[in-house]
Amino acid sequence: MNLITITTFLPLAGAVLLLLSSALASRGAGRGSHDNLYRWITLIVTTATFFVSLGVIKEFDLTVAGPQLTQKVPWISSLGANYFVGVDGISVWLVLLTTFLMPISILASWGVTKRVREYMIFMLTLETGMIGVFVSWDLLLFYLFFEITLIPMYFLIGVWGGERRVYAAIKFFIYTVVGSLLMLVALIAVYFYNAKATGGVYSFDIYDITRNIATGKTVIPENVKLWLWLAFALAFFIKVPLFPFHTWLPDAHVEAPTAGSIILAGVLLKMGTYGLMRFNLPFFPDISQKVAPYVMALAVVGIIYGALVAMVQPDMKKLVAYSSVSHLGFVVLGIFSFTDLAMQGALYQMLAHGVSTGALFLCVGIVYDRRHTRMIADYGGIATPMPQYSTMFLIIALSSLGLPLLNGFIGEFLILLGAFASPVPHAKLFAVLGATGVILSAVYLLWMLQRVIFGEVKKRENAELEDLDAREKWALVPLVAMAIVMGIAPMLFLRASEKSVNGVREAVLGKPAGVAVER
Amino acid sequence: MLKWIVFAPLIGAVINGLFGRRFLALFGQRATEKLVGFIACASVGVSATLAFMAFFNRLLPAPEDQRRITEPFFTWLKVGSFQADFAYLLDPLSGIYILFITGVGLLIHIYATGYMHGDPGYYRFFCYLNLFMFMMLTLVLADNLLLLFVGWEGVGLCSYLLIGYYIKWDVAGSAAKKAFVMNRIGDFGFMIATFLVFTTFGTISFVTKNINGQDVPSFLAQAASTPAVAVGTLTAIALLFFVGATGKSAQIPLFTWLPDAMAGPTPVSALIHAATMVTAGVYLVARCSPVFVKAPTAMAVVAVIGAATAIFAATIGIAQNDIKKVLAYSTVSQLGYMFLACGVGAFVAGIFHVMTHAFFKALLFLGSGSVIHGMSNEQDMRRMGGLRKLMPITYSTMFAGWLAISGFPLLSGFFSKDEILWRTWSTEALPHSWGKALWVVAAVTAVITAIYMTRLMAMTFWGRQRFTEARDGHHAGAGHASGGHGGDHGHHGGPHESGWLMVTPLIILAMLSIAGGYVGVPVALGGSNQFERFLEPAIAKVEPVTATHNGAAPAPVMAQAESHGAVASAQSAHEGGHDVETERLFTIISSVLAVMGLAFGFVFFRRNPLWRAPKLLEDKYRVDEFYDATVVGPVEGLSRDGLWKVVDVKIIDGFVNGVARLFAALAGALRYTQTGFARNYAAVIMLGAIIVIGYFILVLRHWH
Amino acid sequence: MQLENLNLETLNLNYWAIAPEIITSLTGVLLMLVDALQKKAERKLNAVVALVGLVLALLSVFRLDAGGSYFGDMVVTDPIRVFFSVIILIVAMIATLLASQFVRDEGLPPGEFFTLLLFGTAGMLMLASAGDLVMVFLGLEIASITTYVMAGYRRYDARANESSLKYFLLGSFATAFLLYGMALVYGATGTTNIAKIGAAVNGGQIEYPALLLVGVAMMLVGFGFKIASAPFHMWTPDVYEGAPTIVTGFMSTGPKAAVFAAFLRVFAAGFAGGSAGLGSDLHTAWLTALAVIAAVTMTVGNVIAISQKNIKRMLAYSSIAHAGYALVGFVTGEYASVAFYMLVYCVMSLGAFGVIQLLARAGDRKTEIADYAGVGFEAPGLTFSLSIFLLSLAGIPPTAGFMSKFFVFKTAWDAPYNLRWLVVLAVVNSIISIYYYLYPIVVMFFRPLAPGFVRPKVSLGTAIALIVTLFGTFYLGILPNRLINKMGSGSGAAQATQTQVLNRR
Repeated sequence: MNLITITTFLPLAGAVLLLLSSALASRGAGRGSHDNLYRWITLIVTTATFFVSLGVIKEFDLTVAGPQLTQKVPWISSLGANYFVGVDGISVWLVLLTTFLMPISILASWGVTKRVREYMIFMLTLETGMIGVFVSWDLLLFYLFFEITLIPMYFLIGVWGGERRVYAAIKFFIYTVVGSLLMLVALIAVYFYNAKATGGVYSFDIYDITRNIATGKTVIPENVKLWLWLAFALAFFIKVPLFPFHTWLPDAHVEAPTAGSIILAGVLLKMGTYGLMRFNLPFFPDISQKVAPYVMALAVVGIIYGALVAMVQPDMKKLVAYSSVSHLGFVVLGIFSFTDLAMQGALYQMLAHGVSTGALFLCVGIVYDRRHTRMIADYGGIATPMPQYSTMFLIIALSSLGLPLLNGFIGEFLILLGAFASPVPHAKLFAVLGATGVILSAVYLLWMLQRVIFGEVKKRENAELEDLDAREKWALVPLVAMAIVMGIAPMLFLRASEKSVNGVREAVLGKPAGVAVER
Repeated sequence: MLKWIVFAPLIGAVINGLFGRRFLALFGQRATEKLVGFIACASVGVSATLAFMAFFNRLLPAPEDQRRITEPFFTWLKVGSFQADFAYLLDPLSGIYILFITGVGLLIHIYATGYMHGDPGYYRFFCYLNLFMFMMLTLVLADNLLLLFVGWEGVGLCSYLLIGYYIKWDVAGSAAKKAFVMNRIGDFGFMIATFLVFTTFGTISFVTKNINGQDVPSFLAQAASTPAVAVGTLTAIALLFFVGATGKSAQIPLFTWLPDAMAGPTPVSALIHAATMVTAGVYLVARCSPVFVKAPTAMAVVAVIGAATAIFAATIGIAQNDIKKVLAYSTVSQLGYMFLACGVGAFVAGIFHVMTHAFFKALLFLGSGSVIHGMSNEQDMRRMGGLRKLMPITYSTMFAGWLAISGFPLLSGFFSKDEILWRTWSTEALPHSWGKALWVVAAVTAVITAIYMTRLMAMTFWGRQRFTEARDGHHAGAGHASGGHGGDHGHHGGPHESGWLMVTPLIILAMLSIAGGYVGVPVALGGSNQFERFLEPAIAKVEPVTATHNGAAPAPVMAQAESHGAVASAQSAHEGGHDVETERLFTIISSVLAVMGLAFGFVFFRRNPLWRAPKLLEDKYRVDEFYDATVVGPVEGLSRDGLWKVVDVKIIDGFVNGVARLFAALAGALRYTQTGFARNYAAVIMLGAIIVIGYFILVLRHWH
Repeated sequence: MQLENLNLETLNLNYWAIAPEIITSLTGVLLMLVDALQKKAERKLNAVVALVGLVLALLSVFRLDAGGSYFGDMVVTDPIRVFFSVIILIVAMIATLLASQFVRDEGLPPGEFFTLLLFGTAGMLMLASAGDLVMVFLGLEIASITTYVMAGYRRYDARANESSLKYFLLGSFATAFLLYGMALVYGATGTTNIAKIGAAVNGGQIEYPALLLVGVAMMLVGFGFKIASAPFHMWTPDVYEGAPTIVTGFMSTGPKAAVFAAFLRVFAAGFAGGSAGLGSDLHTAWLTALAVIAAVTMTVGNVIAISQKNIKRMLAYSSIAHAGYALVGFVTGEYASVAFYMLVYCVMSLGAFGVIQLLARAGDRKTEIADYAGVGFEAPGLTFSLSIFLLSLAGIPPTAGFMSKFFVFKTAWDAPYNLRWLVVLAVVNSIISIYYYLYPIVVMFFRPLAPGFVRPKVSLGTAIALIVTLFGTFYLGILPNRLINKMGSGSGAAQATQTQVLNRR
C-alpha cells in the first residue's frame, strides 16, 4: 500500500479506533475513567504516523522535481477527479512538520480533562486533513482537505478554548471560508480552461494543469486571469495571514487551547503559503510577476506591522500570534521574489516558524497551566524557580528572532538575500525594509523574556513554580533540538526541496520550461 | 587544527552547560568550582596552545606572500550560486587576533575562577565564557562573511547572556537587552552589506572559492582588481559594514550600550567589553580594507566618527565616579582611536592599538575587579582611596596599566597611540587639512585620557581612605549590584589583596602592557616595525586621495598579488614621503602631551579627588534620554495606540464586524415582511405573478 | 389528448409503467384495513406495512424501461422520472421510519397518518411520471391535499392548524395559477400533452402566442410556489414552523422533489426549443425569469435565515435558499445536477428534521435554538449528527452538501450561456449561510448546559433513519461517482435537446 496514503489516513484510523473504543469503554465505568487510555492511543497513533512519514523521507528521490511516491485512483470519473496523492520537495517537508508537531501537541494537551475522547478524535481528524492538503495533487481533493481542516479546529477552539472562544471560533471559520469558497469558483474556472485547452480532457490533476500552463498549452483569458489569481490569493492570504487579513489570527490563537495554537501556527498557516507556491505562481505566472511588487509591499508591511504590534502586547499568546504575522510576512516576501535563494528560504522559514512558534506556544502553555494567566505582567523572574524551562524558552526565543546557528536565521537570511537579488522591481527596497523586522523581533522577544523570566520574583505565587516535568520535557526538548539541528545543518533539508522549488520558480519566470515540466 | 582552536572552547561550554547542574548536585559547590573551572580553563588552554602553534610553527615560517592557511570544515549553506562554508582562514590579521584572544582569554578565565568563587551560577558563567571564546574565534577565523556574521551575532549573544548574568537584577536585564538590540541595529547594516557584496561580486568569501565548478576569486580581490565596480556601490558596502562596526564596537551613535554593559561581572567586562569583542568592528574594517580604500568617502566617515567618539567618550570619562564606568568610557574612546586609525588608512596602526589596548585595558579592568572584589563589591570611587597600601600588587600592576594607556613613553600604549597620531597627521587617505584637524582632536583626547586615568588612580589608590566612613547602608545597594554573587568573601574585615589566582594574571598582563609595544617600534625610532611588516600583506593600502580623484588609481596591493617588493615600496612610501625628522618630532610631541596630562591630573586630583565635573558630563550628555524621547517612546506609542488599538481593532475588525452587522440588520428588516397574515402573502404572490406575467408580455411585444 | 381516437390499441397500456403508483396507493388502502382490524397495542405494524409497500414500489421503479410513454402518453418513463421516483420513495421511507416514533410518542392515530403519507407519495410519483398536464395537475393535487392534512395532523395544536390552513389557502391560490396557465397553454397549442406542446412550440405554428406566453408565465408562478421560490415563498416559514417536525421534514423534501421533476419535464420538454421565433424567445424568457428568481430566492432565503431564533423557521428559510441553488441547476439545463441536488438535499434535510424532532420533544415544545444550549455532549450522537447535517446544508466538505453544490456550480459555470454571475452570487450566498448554520452548533457545543435536559429516547426506526441519512450524507459527499455516472448516462438525452437548441441560438 502507498506510503503517502498510509501517512495520511493513519490518524483517521486512530480516530475511528477511539470512536469504537469509547463505544466499548463507556459501558460501566463513569466519564473520564478512560481518559488516559484515549491519550495514550492518540499519542501512539500520532507517533506511529511520524515514523511512517520518516519512511517517506527515506524513499524520497532528490533528483525529481514533480510529485513522487504517488498513488492515483479514479475518484469521480465523470469529472476527471482522481484520488491522486504524492509528495514533492516542497510538500514532503510540510508533511513531516505536521507529523512531527502532532505527538508534541498531544503531549501538550495531556492536561485537557474536558471530553478527552472527543478532543483527541478532533486532533486526529485534523492531522489527516492537514497531511491531505499537502499531499493532494488533485485540485478537488486538495479543496476537500483544505476545508476539512476547518471543522476540527473550529470545535477545538470553540469547545476547549478560552473565554471569548465563541467569537474566535466563528471568526476563524467565516474568515477562512470566505476565502476558500471564492477559491472554489476560481478552481472550477481553471478546470474548464484547462479542459478546453486539452480538447475536453477534464482533469483536476494539479501537475498536468501546471505543465499545460507552463508549456502554453492551457491559456487563461487575460480578462479573467487577474480575478482568478485574486480568488486563489485571497484564500491563501487569509490563511497565511497576510496584512490586512490577519485579525482573525490573534483571536484564534489567544482562545485556542495550547495544542490548538501549536497546530494553528505550526501547520495551518503554512497551508496558505504552500497554496501560494503551489497554485498562484505556477497557474498564473505573468499575473504573479505583475503583482509581485504589491504583494511584497504587503508582506513587508506585515513584517514591520506585526512586529510593532507584537511589541506592545500585554498578552504572551497575542504577542506570539502577532510575531507569526511578522514571520509569515517573510515567507510571502520570499515566495514573490522569484529567486531560488528567497523561495528556498521561504520554504525553510515555513518549517523553522513551525518549530519555533510551536515551541513558543508550548512554553506559554506550560506556565499557563501553572498560573492560568497569559499576561506578561503576572510573571517576572521565573528563571529562579524554573531554570530549565527558562533556558529552553530562551533558546526558542533566540531561534525565533533569527540567531545564527538556530533555525530562524537560515530562512530569514536566505529570504532577505534572495529578495535583495530579486528581479522584481523595488525588491531591494523591500528587502532592506524587511530586514528591519530582524531588529524588531529582537526587541519584542527579548523584552518579553526580560519581563517574564528575568529579574526579581515579584509575585509570591511565582516563587515556588515547579520546573518542567518529564512530560513537558518530552514535548519541549525535541523542538529545541530540532531548532538547533535546523540551524547547523540546513542542507539536510534544502537539498531535497531544491529541485521542486526551482521548478516553481522557472514556472513563473518561464526560464527553460523544461525543468518545471519533466516528470 | 584551526577547527580545534575554534571548537575546543565549545566542548568545554557544552560539558559545563549540560552537566554543571549535575556536578553541583553530586559534588557540592567547592568541588564543582574546581572541576568546572578546570574544564573551562583547560578547553581555552588547548585552543590557546594550538593557536600559538599555528601562529609560530605554521604562519610565521611561511614566506610573506603565502601566509594564508585555509581549512575547510563543511558546507553550511549552499543555494544556487550562493555558498557559505564552515571554513577557516588563518592569515596575519586573524593570526594576531587569535593570539591575544586566546592568550588574554586564558588569563581572564584563570582570573575568573578566583573572582567568581562562591557564585551559585559558577558553571553557567563558565559555560557562557567558553561559548564566547568559541564565537569570538569563529568570528576572526571565518573565511566568509556569513560565518563571520555567525561569530559576530554569537559574541553578541554571549555578551547578552553575561551582561544579564545576575538574572535577579533588573538593571542587568535591561542592560543586556539594550546591548543586544543596539548590536542588532548594527547587524542590520552588516546584513545589507553582505547582500550587496553578494549581488555585486557573486561571492561572500575572503578566499577564492570553487562554486559550482568554477573558481570565484574572493570579493576582496575583486574589489581591489576590478575598476568596473562603481565607487558608489563600494562606498555603500563600506558604510554599511561600518554601521555594523559602530554597533559592535560602541561608536557614535550606537555606543550607549557599552557603559551599561558593565552590569556584567568584571572579568566579562575585561574580556568581552574591553579586550576582544568590542574590537571586532575594527577587525571587520581591517578585513574589508580593500573595499574601504576604494571608497574615500567611507574612509572619511570612519575617521571622523572615530575621532568624534574618542573625544566625546573621553570627556564623559572624566566625570564618572563608578570605577568600571570610567574604564567603559575609556574603552569607547580608545575604540574611537582605532577607527580613526582605520579611517586615515593606517589599518595596521589600528590593529596594533587593538592589541596593546587588549593588554592594558584587560589589565585595568581586572585590576578594578580585584579592587571591587577586595572592597566587597564597592564600585564607587568616592568611597575608595588610599588602597595603595592595602592592595600593593593590584596597585603596582594597575600603575603600569595607567601609564600604558596614558601613552607614557616607551610603554605599549605609547607606541600604538603615537603611531596613530603620526599617521593621522601624515594621512594620504584624506585631504591633509582633514588629517591635521583630526590630529588635533586625537591629541586633545590623548591628554584627556591621561587626565581621567590619573583621576581614577588618585581616587582609588592614593590619598585618604574614604571607605571606612558610611560603608554600611549604601553597601547593601552596591552589593546587590552583583546579585547573589560574592556571598562568602570580602566580608571579613576591610579591603584586602586578592588571591593568587587573580593576581597572577594581573602581573602577566602588566608585563605585556609594559613590553607589548616593542613588536611595533616604528622605523623612525630605530625599530624595524615587524608588526607592520607582518600585517602588511593582509591589509590593503590606500592610494593618495589625489590619485583616487582622477579615476586612474593603481590597484592596491593584495595578499595574493603582492610580495616584498610592494611592501618595500610601501615602506618607502611613507619614509620617502615625509621625512623621518617630522615623525620623530611628533613622537616627542605626543610623549609631551601624555606627560602633561599625567602631571596635571596628578597635581589636581591628588589635592581634590572628589572634584565634581560639570553636570552635563556626569549625565553622559543625556544621550540615552534623547534616544528614549525621540525613538523608543514614539515607536512604542505609535504601535500601541496607533497600529494595534486603531488599525487592528477599530479599522480592520471594525470593517469586518460591520459587514456582519449589516447583514444582521438587513435580515432583521426583511423579517418584518413575514407578517403571518395569509392575505399579505397572497398579495405578495399576486405581485410576483404580475411581474412575471408582465415580463413575458414584454417578450411577446418584442417578438411581434 | 384528443378524444376521437380513444381506443385501446393506440393507448398503449402498460401497467408496469405505473407499478410504483399502484403499489403505493394499494398499500395505502391496505393500511386502512390493517388499522381497522388490529388492536391498539400492535400499532407498530402500520409502519412495517408501509415500509414493505414502499420497498416494493422502489423495486418496481428499477424495473421501469428507459424512455417510453404509455396510457396515451399520460405516463412517461424517462430518466427524470426514474431518478425522482427513487428520491421520492427514499424520502417516504425515511419519513415513515421517523414518523413511527412520532406517532407513538404523541399518541396520534398511526393508521391514518401512514395512509396519508402513502397516498401523498403516490401523488408525488404521478407528478414525476406525468407526460401530460392533466396528470401533472392530478398528481400535484393529490400530493398537496395529503400534505395539507398532515400539516394539521396534531389536531389539538393551534400552530399546526394555522399552518395547515395557511398552506391550504395559499396552496389553492397558487394551484389556481397553475391551472389557468395550463388552460391557456391548451388554448394556445390545442393539446395538454407535454411532448405535443413541445412539438407545437418548436414548430412555431401557434395561433395565439399571447395565450402561450401568459400561460407559461402563470405555470411558472404555480410551480414557483410549490418549490417555495421567492417571491412565492412566504408561506413556507409559517407552515414549516407550525407543522409537526416530521411532517415539515417530509413536505420540505418529497413534494419539492416531485414538483421539480414535473417542472423540469414540462418546461424543458414543453417550452424549450424552437430554432428561432416564438419557441426560442419563450425559452429565453423563462430561462431568464428562472435565473432571476433563483438569484432572489437564495439571497432572500439566506439573508432572512440569519435572524431566525427558531430552528424550524431557520431550516424553512434554508430550504428556500436551497430551492434557489437547485434552480441554478435547472437553468443550466443539466438535469443530473438538479436531480443529484434534490437527492442530497432531501437526505440531509430529513436527517436534520429527524434529529430536531427528537430534541424538540413531543408537541414540538423545544424548537427555539436557545433551548439546545450546551446539550452537545449530553446527547453526542444526536447533536453531532445534527451538526453534520447542518454543515452539509452549508456545503462544507466532505459532506454531500458540498458535492451537490459543486456540481451545480460547475455545471452553471460551463453552461452554454453566461450564468457565471449566478455562480458567484450563489457562492456569496453560501458564505452568508455559513453564519446561521454554525449558530446551532455554537449553541449546542460552546454554550453552558441549560438545566433540565434529559437525553431523548431514540427508537429503532429513528435510529435506522438517522444512520441511513448520516451515511448518505457522507457517501454522496465522498464517493458520488457511481450515482453521477448513472445520471450522466441517463440525463444525456434529456439535456441534448436543450443544449443543441441553445447552441443554435
